[in-house]
Amino acid sequence: MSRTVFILVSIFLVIPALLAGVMMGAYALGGWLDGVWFPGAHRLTNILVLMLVFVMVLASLLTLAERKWSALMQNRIGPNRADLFGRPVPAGIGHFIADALKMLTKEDFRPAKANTFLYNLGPLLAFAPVFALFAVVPAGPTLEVFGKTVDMVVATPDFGLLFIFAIASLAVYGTSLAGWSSNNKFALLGGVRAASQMISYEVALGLSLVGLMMAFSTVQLPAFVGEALGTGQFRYLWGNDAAMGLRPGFDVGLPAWGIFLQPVAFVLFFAAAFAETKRAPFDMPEGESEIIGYFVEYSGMKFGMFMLSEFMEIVILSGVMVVLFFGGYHLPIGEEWLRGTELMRSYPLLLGAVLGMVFWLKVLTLCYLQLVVRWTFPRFRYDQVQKLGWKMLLPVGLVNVFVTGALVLWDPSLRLLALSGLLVIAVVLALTMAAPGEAPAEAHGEGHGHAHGDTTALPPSHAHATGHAQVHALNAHTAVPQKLETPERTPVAASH
Amino acid sequence: MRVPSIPAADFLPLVPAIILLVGACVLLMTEVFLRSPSRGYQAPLSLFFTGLAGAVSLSSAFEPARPVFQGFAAQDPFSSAVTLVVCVALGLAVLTSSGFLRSRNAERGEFYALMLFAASGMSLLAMSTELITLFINIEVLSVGTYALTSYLRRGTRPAEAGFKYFILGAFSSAILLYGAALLYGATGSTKLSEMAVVLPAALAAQPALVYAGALLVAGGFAFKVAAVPFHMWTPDVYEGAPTPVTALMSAGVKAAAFAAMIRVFLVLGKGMDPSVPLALFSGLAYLTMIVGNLLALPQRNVKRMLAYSSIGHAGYLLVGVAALFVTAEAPAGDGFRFFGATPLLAPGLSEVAARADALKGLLFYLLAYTVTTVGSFGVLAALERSEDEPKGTAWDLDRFAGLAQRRPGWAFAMAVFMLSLGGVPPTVGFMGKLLIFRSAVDTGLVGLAVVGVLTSAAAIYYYLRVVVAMYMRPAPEDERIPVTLSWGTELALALSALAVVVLGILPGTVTDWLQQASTLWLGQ
Amino acid sequence: MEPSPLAPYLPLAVALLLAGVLAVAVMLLASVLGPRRPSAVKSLAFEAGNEPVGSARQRFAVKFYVVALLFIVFDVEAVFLYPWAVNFQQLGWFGYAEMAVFAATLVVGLIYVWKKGALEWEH
Repeated sequence: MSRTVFILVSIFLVIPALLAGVMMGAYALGGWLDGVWFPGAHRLTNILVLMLVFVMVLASLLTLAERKWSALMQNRIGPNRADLFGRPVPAGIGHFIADALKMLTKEDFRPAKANTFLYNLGPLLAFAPVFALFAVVPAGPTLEVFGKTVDMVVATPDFGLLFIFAIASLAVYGTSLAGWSSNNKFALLGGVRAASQMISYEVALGLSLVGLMMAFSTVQLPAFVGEALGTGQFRYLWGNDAAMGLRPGFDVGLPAWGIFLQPVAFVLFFAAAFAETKRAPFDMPEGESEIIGYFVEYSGMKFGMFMLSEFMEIVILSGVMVVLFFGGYHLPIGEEWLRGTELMRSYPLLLGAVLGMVFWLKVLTLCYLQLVVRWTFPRFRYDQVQKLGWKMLLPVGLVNVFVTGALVLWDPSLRLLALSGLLVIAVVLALTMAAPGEAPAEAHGEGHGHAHGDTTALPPSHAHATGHAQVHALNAHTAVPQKLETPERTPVAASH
Repeated sequence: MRVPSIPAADFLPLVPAIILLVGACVLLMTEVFLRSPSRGYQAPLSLFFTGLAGAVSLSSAFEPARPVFQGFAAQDPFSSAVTLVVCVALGLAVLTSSGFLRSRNAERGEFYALMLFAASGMSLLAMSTELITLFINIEVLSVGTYALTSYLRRGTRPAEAGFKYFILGAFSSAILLYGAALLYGATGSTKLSEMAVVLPAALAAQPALVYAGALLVAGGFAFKVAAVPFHMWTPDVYEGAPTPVTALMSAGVKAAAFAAMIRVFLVLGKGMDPSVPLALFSGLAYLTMIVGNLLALPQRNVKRMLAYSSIGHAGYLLVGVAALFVTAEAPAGDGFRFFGATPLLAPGLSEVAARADALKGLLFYLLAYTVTTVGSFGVLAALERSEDEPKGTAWDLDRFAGLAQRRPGWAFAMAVFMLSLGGVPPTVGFMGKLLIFRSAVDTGLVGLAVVGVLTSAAAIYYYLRVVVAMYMRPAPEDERIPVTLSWGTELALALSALAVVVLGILPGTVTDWLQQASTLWLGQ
Repeated sequence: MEPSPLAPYLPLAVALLLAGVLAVAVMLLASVLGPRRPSAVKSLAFEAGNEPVGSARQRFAVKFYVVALLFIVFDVEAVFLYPWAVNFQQLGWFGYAEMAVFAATLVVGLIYVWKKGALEWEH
């Protein structure tokens, strides 16, 4: 009981308060630096706060969250043994510090036959581009702090989204170099698989966002989010423009978020982005139970950099998805009213804290979604990955581009696009609801077919049982709760 | 934002290329969707699209020249004529391919589609008036021919030929692109029409840049037309490629590359001292005529012999190109006397008329060479052995021994082609050489004309050797030489032999038309 | 002073620099802090505990190359789509038709590749 209370309190009070506090601090710091140094200097504090504090810390915490979450899903307890000065730390938070220390102090050996330069370049190229990715993602509104204009983004180049595509695709060099230079057959296989998979999904990734670019006529991330009411995603379709008799400035309508305009693109982007992070169900390049992966020969911090860049990718992709599909730091409703209140006007820092918190909460939700996906779905086969990328995502992406184009041209107010998007969402929801609840049995269907075909090859004791009976027996067997009472023995990251 | 407006009429000149592209796509799609293994329909289908494209280009041949797509391409009689030549080459090559492929069990696949893609590249190349468009079209035609070269994958020769062609072709494309970049750097534009305006100023400011760029571009083109310092790839590639592809390469690629080269250098030549391109092309012509013909002399392998002969013919075409750069006044400096180029117009001949004559000669020669060479490669394709042979004997001269008794029709056609290649009247080859050499003499390039006639005389030796083998040597008795029979080959041979003779005796209609086209184009 | 046109990119450069410096620093730190006790067995390639057989510098399946080629084709297509998409509303139906033709050409290629079996990994 107390555990539930602890979790609820931390989710609904501690985390939002923490996020809001840090964001308020970030704005204050930026305003102060602008005052004492030069206008625009707050971008430097933004680098520190957004990239070092938020992305790095969130990514490190996610390594722990992933282990905890998987434990929860598998009815285990998960890591809980790392103490701090002899005192137990709640939620196993000590583990991520222990992991970091361990990686730093592990022996950094390299295989004798490896190509030293490329071997060292691999983790560098995997880590550095991912780290720089967040630079163009806006995490909060532009505010007047201490008389200075402070925004919450590192850089606003004209080519925003293209920066993400370009830099994200650099990471493929890291993985393929790591795979090749290790001089290990597993690593080579992993590296080649990774490169092939990443470039396959990059196509779908690139195509999926064209629809949004058409709708908003931009590739700049802050322009996608929109600063003033009526720009970017900060607008309401079928809105009342404060004319419905409600309090002035309280607009009601469908927020023009990407998810409503382009649900198909969201699914495409999410799937492709997932494949880019090389996490289950797209983890063929590392498939820990078969080929270990392109980083099999890496130890200590070098391996840690591969792993950390994977988790940073989760955070960053969530951020990008929030900006593109979930309205960035905007509230779904009532933000204009909030901005107009006396309190927010007199204390802009407060507004920054609230909206920044909104942004990071959305990001955390999407991170959570990625963890759920990663621990829910089984791994694809490699041919299925390629088939999905080329035969599903690419054609669907192309069709999406041209259907979206026609709808946008037809009705530049985007209402038609939103209608079609809502329709798609409704259809998908209806199909999901109406689907027979035996999805797991269907998943077994293929295996069942194989078993059936191979009955002659099975021992007699199996041969008489029908496939269905076997499947049910299996299900029944695995359904028995098997709570592992013993806590995890190893305080290190065991999942890799 | 200013939205560029492209009038619908701009698409009209593209119609032949679009027809070829659509045809290629249709062939590709039917290839992958049809389940039956028979692919007999592909040759007639490609022939249909080729004929359509040729007819369209012929119908627009007399439309006045105009730039389309904001100066990225041009519609003029010149481009129509080159497209027509390409379509003729393509049609004849397709006709010979059907039997060739069937006897080698290689009918399935993208052969015809690749041919049509390559031909559309050639057609577009002839229209390009902008360096990047030009480069892209060179790539379109090259990539198609690279793939076609190693189409018959078995054996080492196609692989060697394809790889050689690809590597050297990529190299030459890079050279051309580099030259184009330098020219862009000097003039600030990649459109030929804008370059022509800026070039004098650019030449004054940065002569080295312009000359280096022009030289590199010329090098890239020289590779594509197989002119002599850049000819090394030709014999191996021509030999290793499937024979109908060799025919298409030696006729179509050459025609398109010459067209693009002429377009670029007519513009560059206007800006710079005309004696520079004159010396450049005269030099290339001398080298190419002499080296190509001399190297062809010792060849016993007929396919290699034809490859070297195609180098020689590139030399004759270069004579025509050189004649394009003649001016009424004598060149300022005499630094280029070394090449024997003392261009002086014949009395009573205007500059434009002389150039139009040269261009007419070029175009006629291209047409003449196309029908002749495609025909002779057609005979070769029908005669060559289909199995993987020990090196070089598949096209040995012995294969032609006694052909007159075994297949008198083919022997006669081959004899006609050989005489035409050698430039013996009353064939079309003679008329072509006559026109080219006459315009060379008219423009004062006597040295080139003399060398041309001398090398032609030498060339008759190796051409006649084939005729001698066919008519005066007995057929080998023990060996039953299998030959490929198909209506396509027969038709192609008949058509090209007919064309060689008819155009040789009655060139009037075509030369009149080409004269009109050349004057129309150069007149502005 | 007139701000340089490159000024908006300065934070980006700093961020990229920071990324590089951080990556190098972490790696250096790890190599300083960690012990260093190499041995012959330790520096063998790890191939499931067996002694590695043969070299890992091997050729791999041609399919990967095919995927790379396809990637270039379709990624370049996507790159062509971006500027078009940004100016899409000004270009109107004419631009739409133009791009549709372009995409259709590539779709023919995709269908061809698909039917030809280049996307199959099973055979």
